[in-house]
Amino acid sequence: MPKRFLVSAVVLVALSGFSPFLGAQTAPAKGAQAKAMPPWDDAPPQKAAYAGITKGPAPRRDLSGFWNGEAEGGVQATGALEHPALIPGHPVDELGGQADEKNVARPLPYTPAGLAALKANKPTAGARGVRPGLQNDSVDICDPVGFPRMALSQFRAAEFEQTANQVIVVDQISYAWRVIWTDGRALPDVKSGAEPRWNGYSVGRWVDDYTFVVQTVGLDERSWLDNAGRPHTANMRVEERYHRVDSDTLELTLTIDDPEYYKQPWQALNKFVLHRLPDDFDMRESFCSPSAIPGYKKLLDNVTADK
Amino acid sequence: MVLVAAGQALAHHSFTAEYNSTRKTTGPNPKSWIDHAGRPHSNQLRVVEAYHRVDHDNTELTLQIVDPKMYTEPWLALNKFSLHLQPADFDIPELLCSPTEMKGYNNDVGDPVPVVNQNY
Repeated sequence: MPKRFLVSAVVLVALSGFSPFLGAQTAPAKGAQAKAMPPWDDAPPQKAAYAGITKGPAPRRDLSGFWNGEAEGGVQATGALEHPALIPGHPVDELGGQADEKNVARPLPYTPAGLAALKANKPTAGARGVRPGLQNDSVDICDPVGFPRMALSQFRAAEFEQTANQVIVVDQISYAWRVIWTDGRALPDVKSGAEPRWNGYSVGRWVDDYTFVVQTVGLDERSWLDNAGRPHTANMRVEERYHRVDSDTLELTLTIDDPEYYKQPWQALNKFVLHRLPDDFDMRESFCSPSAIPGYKKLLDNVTADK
Repeated sequence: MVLVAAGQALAHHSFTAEYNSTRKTTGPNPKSWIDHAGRPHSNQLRVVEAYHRVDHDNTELTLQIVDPKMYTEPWLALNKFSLHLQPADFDIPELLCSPTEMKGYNNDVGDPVPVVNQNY
C-alpha cells in the first residue's frame, strides 16, 4: 500500500483514541534470551524504550546491524525534519517555507527553476498540500519511493551490512536496498548518458574510525525529496554523514546539493539519531501493492466516517 | 500472525555436509503466485531451498515446494540449478516496478489501459 496512505491511517487511528502500535512496542533486547517462537514483524521500539539504557563505546568502522529511525521522529509526514512544511501554530508561506521553533525564517534557497518544479509537484502533505485526488505524487500509485525520500519521509528501520567492498542498506518502508561501494571507485559521470536510478549510485569512505561519508549521484528526477513535494534534478548530489556516537547511537546528517534547483546546499537531516536494534530484529515487510489500495482507501473512509 | 509476501526464512548449515546450506521459508502471502505460469500456493506453503557450493565459482540451488493444501506431494521447482559467482565489483542493475513507466510501456508495446488519474 502507498506509504503516505499508511501515515495518514496511523494519524487518523491515533486521533480516534487508540493506536495499534502501542501494544506492539517492545524494549530493546538486553541479552540473548530463549524465545518461544521466532520474532515476526517486529515494530521498532519508541523513544521511551531507550531511556536509561547502558551504552558501550562505539565499535571501530562498524555500522552493521539493524537501526531504528522511528523513535526520534523518522516519520516525517509533512516534509524533511530540518525543513518541515507544517509545524502547528507556525506561519507558513505559499512555498512551504516556515519559521523554526525560534521564529527564525528558514526558506529553502530555490532557484527560479526549482521554484517552478516545486509548484508543479502537488503533494497531499504539508503547507502546500492539496485535497486527496488532486495530487500527483506517483508514490501513491506505487512508484518507487527512491533515495533520499526513503530517509526523508518514513525512516523506520534499516539494516546495514558491510562486506569487503560494499555497505548494503536495506530500508524497511520502501523495502529496497542500496549498495554503497567502498572499494575506492569514483562516482560515475551522470552527464555521460548513464540511465538514472531511483536509488542512485553511491560510494562511501571512512573519514575517521567513527564517521562514514557517502556521496550519491545518478538519481532519477521523477522522485521527490520528501512528502512535501520538494523537487530535485538528475544532477543532484546527496551526502550522508554517519557518525557512530556509541554502541547504541548513530547520527545521520544528510545534505542536498542541487545547484539547478537550490542556490546553495542545505541540510535535510542534521545529526538525526538512529538507535541500534537487537540482532534478531525482524524487519516488517512493506511492499506497495496496487491491488491493496482499494481496500486501504475503504479502511480510511471508515475511520474518517467514525470521527 | 500476519502473512507477508516474501515469507520468513530460516537457514542452517549442515555439520555433516560442510558445503550445504538449507533454508526454509514459511508464511508467504497466498495472493502471490509460485511462478509466471500462475501456479498457486496456499498460506500453508513451505519452501525449502538447498544451496550446495560445488566449487569456488559454482553453487547449485534445489528448491522444493511443500503445500499439502494445493499439491498432493512435495515437488522440486528447481533441481541443482546452477549459479555462477560474479566478480566482486559486479553492479546489479536497478530493476524496480514503476506504474508510471508501465503506462509508457503499454502505450508503446502493449494494449492501452484506462487511465485512472490524469494527474500522474
